[in-house]
Amino acid sequence: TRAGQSGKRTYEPPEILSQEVFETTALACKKLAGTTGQC
Amino acid sequence: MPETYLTQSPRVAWRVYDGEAVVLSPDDSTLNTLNSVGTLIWESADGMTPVSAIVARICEEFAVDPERAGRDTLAFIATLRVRGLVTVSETIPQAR
Repeated sequence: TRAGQSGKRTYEPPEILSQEVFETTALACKKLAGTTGQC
Repeated sequence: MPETYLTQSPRVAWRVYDGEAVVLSPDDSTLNTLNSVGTLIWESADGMTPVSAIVARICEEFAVDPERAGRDTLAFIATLRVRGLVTVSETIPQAR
């Protein structure tokens, strides 16, 4: 999303959009890696 | 005001999906998804780039004035620090 004539992107304050808590780090790692990737 | 440097915790794992960094904190098994400005800050947290340069980079890419970008960046860094995702130093950390 570009703002005005400057060609710069629309600013939004930096933030953590979401937090997803997992029972174990291994599960979180699996989610991070996706179904085919590796952590 | 002294220059400060931001370094990602060596304990975290992260990836960028669709321009948003997803950061895994192993301490509490939490995935934190950052917005685009947060992702820019996160990717710049290499221990070598001063916070002032990160703010300048934000102002180059986004339509924001330096004063607001600086204020928001410091608040965000404080949040990351509390969660143990980054460390802040007034000197460039020694290479591991």
